[in-house]
Amino acid sequence: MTKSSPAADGRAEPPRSGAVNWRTALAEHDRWLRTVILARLGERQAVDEVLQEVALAAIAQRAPLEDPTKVAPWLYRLAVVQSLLYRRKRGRGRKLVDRYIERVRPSDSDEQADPLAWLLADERRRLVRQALERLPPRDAEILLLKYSENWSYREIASRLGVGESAVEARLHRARAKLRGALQGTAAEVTA
Amino acid sequence: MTQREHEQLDDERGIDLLVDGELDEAQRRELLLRLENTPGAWRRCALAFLEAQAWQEGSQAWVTEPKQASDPPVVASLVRSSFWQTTWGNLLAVAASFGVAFALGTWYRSNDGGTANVVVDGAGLQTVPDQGARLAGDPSATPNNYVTLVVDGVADGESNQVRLPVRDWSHVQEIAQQPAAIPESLVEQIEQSGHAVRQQRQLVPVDLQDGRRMIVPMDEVRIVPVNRTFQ
Repeated sequence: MTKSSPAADGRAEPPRSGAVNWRTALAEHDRWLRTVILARLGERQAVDEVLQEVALAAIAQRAPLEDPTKVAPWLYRLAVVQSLLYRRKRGRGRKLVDRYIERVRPSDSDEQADPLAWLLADERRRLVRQALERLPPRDAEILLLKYSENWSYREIASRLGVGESAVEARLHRARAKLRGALQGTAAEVTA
Repeated sequence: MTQREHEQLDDERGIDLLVDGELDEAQRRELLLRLENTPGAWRRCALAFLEAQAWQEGSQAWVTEPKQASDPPVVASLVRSSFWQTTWGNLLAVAASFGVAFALGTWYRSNDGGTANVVVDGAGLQTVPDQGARLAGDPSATPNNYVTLVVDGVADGESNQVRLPVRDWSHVQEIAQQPAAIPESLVEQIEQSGHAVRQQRQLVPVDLQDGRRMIVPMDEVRIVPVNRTFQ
């Protein structure tokens, strides 16, 4: 693996005492970063490519990691930025898809709906997936971290570099949207 | 919002926290007592647990869903609906055993896409610049093997299977130097007809069933009318 020296372009190196072994760090955080990228992009085939960019950016240290103890939130921000760059690169076709998603995006007003209908459906796993795909990427991301990784609010907060109350608020909003989306998806399936 | 709606919202938020295991003992006790005194609250609570269970199943299925597998003799399946064109030119692949290095390259044409020229080797990642040279005619670049890729979005009457030569990792630099999928003369013709040609090159990683990884370089071409290129 080609490694570049952060000091080569005049930038300060991260503290020696907390030097990060990027190979280990990237391997350790690989799984949930994939989840974040998948949630942000909704394209499984793009995850590897974006994760490669994250790895390259991490190694290049173009925006140096200030605090080696906060590798997870730093990698999270890298993953989000690289996902956004990927989406931008995808261009107009992507925008059309996004506009369509925006049009069919569920609103918070559906949160009082009764979930029994879709819970009784044989294909509820598929319904959940379809509903997740309809959510704004940020909402899908927090839900996937919660339910696929089975993390506590504290664990999510430490990875994303935010407070637990922010995690709770984001989860609350995301769940409301997911409930709305599930109502819509279930209605489409049963119509 | 009425007092009743406020209480219901608090209950729902509390139920979510209860399901998530985020309430301390005192909060948990307080919520349970409140639910006991609220008509329909236990039903909502039960449904919240079932919802969480279903979300967990659905989320895990989405995240861990295996990549699309392929059946012999097809070793990989690329699904890029509507991006593929009917003409297959400059098809090329590179591969080598994973212990030392492994990469596979394929050039194909498409009408949309992005570019990146990253090659995975046994030790990690490295960027390969596109130098615009030629591989054709190089006797050392004889393919070691062939693979068949299945592609989506091919026009009617065209096969959706593409047989590609597999080449050794040592030729990866030459692969990267292949010219663009569309000849410059054709690009000029298209541009003279009032269209802009946007060409980009990227590599698509494909995991094989035996654990090795192929990298499939792609040329993607997007042709748009000049008067529609503004944002």
